[in-house]
Amino acid sequence: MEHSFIDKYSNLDSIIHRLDPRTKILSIFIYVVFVVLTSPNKFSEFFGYSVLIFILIFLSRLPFGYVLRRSFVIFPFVFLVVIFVPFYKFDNPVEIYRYGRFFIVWNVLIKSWLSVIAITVLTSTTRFSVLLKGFEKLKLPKFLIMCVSFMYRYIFVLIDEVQRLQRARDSRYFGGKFFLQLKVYANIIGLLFIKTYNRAERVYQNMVSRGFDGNIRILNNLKLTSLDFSFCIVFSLIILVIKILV
Amino acid sequence: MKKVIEIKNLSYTYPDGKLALQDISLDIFEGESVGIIGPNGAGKTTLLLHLNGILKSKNGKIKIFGKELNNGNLRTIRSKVGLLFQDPEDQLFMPTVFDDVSFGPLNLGFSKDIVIQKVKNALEQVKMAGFEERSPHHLSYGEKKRVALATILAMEPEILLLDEPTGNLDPATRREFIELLKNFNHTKIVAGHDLEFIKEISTRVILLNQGRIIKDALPSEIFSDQKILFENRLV
Repeated sequence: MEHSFIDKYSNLDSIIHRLDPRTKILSIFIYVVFVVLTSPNKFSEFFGYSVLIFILIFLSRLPFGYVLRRSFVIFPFVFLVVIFVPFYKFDNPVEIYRYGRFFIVWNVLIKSWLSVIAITVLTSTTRFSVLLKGFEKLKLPKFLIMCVSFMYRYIFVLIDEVQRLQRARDSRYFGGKFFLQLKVYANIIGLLFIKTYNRAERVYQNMVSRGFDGNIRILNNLKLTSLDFSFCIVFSLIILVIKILV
Repeated sequence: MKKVIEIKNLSYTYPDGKLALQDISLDIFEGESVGIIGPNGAGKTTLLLHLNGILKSKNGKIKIFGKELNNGNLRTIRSKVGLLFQDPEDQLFMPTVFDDVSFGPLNLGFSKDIVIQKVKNALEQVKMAGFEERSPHHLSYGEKKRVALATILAMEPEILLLDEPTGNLDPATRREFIELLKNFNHTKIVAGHDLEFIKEISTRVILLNQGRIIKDALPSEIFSDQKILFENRLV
């Protein structure tokens, strides 16, 4: 069955695609930190960061529409913040008088939106396996990486299983009371748990039979090139210029 | 001939109380190709899991290459006994084909260059060279099965344990897979109920039912005995 992958465009070719994952992870991390720590009334600075990230998208040849659509995932969260705005007690009312109560929404919206766009660029231009290797080289705990890697490997297998169960239900479903339906779904969830548990058992048996002794070993042949160094320098310089001059 | 596997009075009960193997005694010699046939739930997979030390039974003894299985030599024995699982989805758990095939050799402690060489050889043997960077999820079932075999070949085992290797394959893929297996000179133990395939590949067949060995004979002898096949739900 077909699924949409978060690294759907990772096989394109561009400067951004050719960068080492570590370079991308660190650059995007720096970018996000700078965006988040910018005071919300510095509109020109935010403009600078937006231009920078759109230049990155342009360089990476990702379709703009795709990146925008992916970045909309944050809107439900921003909506949550909006709901609570009337109840906020503000420590610094001066800015609120100047820009209105929804200043806080702007603050959350622009920061999260730019950050999510940046992360979308990172994950869309890097194959997921390579991204994990980048994190591994950056000394993230191997156990954590293994967990994420298993999740990414088996999430689609699991989705297939859910779809099969759902189909089995649909083919014998002729309408019924809501309460009864709920019970069926409860059973499906229970069944999925057992299936996943059994699969985990078999995968572990498999790992053990291939010599797994609790130490995770991953062969990693990532190499930093001059492109990575120049990208890092240029990218950080631009961010500093935005921070200091704008 | 050299005895590679020696099983004596092996019995196994699953934690839920189900009796899976009863008093199995069996010798397997170097270069043999042994088929294990039997109906569903006969204990075929359970037996294979014992030969790799994944399941451990208190009753009975298993010797592999003349050594009894214990925690000290488990690693060496597992590197010599490769087990191909029924569902390739269970065998391919890493994000890329390369990571999957290199998993075994890395665990055996080989250096980087040797690992890369072994992965290359293994993938060439199953005719899957060039798929290194693909994600297992993007492969067809037949391709998954081949890569799963490569993950074992990369460890260069002397004994291959194959659990229903032809299950779920379409006829052409099945044919190719059989041709592939026939080329290997390893000692092979093949479990399954694809009788045609087992007839073709084995030099000796063991009929298992309800955890017991019913018959251990030449393929021609077992497959011409319609009565015994019928009694054990194989026709």
